[in-house]
Amino acid sequence: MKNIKFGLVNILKNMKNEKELKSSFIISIIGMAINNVAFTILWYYFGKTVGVLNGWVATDIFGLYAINSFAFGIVNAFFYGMVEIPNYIVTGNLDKFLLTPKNLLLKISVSKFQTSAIGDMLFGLICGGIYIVVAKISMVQILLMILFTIIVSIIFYSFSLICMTVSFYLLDGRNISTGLYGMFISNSLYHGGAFTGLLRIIFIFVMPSLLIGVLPVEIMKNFDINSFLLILVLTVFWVIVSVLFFYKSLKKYESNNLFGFGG
Amino acid sequence: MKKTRFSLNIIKIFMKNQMQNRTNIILDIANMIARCFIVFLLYAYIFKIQGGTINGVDYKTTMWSMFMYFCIMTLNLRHLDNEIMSDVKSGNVEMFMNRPRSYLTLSFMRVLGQGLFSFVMISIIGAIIMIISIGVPSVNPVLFIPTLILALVLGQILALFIYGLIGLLSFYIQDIRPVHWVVDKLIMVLGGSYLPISMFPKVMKIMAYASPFGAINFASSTVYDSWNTNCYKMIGMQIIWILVFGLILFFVYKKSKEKAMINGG
Repeated sequence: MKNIKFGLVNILKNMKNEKELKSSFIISIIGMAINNVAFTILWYYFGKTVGVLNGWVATDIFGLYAINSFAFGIVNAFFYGMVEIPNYIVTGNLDKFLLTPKNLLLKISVSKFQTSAIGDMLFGLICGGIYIVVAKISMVQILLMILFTIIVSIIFYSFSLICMTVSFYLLDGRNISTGLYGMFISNSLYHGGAFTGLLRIIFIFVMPSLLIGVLPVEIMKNFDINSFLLILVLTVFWVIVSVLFFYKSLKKYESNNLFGFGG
Repeated sequence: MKKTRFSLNIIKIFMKNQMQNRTNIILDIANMIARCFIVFLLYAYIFKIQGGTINGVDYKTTMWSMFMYFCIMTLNLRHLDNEIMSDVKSGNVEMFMNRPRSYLTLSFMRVLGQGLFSFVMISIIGAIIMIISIGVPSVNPVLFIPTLILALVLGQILALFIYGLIGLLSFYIQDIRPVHWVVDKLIMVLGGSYLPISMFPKVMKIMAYASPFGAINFASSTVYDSWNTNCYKMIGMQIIWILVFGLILFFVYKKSKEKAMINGG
């Protein structure tokens, strides 16, 4: 409970800081929302060109982007500090987090706020609205969509943490971490009908890109208890693996004498 | 002559600097191969179920076009605006502007030098892998090679002008990133990144060929059959856009310089 309160206070403080630059704050949000439209247009037209692909129709793209963008927005807006782990390691700024008595992972995660991610959340909401209207989904499906957004956010956070934690093993792991992170995200944004066979297995079990959009949309369309349970089990698995991996890797960190204040 | 030598020297310095960072180069290559591999697998499947061709274009041509797009992206000219913004925010821009050489030329050569080695390496290694895995593209070499080089050079000059212009906006607005995102995505979509131009609907095809954002990546269209008949028109479009954006850039740079001097840097 104390940790939750601490996290919320930090998030609110960061948000207030960002809001100080009002014009920049608003432009960032709107800019990011417009930026995201590009991918939707791209895959929507792809769907129109190829028709029904493994049960996926063009409008399903809106469902995919609704869940994916909103979850991405939640993680990047409120827990952006986690994405900054490689930077903290290279610049030696991790020291200041290690010296505080609070929960380390939480303290790092809520140390930064990314304004543009609010734009992602906004975009996710718009896509969700369009999907509800165009695909005419039922109330149960809407509730499933909300539930999946929460689950996907947890998977998003967990696997992103693994990508960032890799930096502990390298001299300057920023490129590798961002490369892995980019690969994880970009594969989650493809048209879902294109993933079959081995590729599908890899992107569900090895790199969970399909868990953060494609699979939830498929379950929403045709509910299947086995797939639903699979997502739940994999969510728990990635959470445990990511946290254990982070604390194990943390032991590799060598402090330096660079001074950093704040956080 | 002196100016050319100066520009080449800057490119050489930054290129040498990049060559020292071998981990980054290996990573760039690995990243590119991984990205291409996934996209190619996806499209192999899609072309297979569509009967081998989509909108009259076959798998091999489409993959070569996408490969070219990804190669061009490794030049990383899209970071130019960010570099200019960093210089403006840190105040370093004043130091550069007070030098006898143009700050813009310096910035252009800097980003070019930073990405050139990766681009050359990835293009060579990638092209070999492409030839072995999916074969040589069906093109007319007499027309293809010179027009590819020309379209590539003109496209990248246009990219420098457009990203340079966005960078100069940092003299006027606090954060240029939203502008960068929008323009960058337009270039990405209209350039045929994840969705090949051959699959575009009519409206988007027109936008890709008539807008400056699509013109940046005309080099990736050189493998299509339509290039044989449209190449002169498309290269002409690139030249027109270069002139338009060159002029705008010239005036905005002049104004930005005045602004920097008035504010005292």
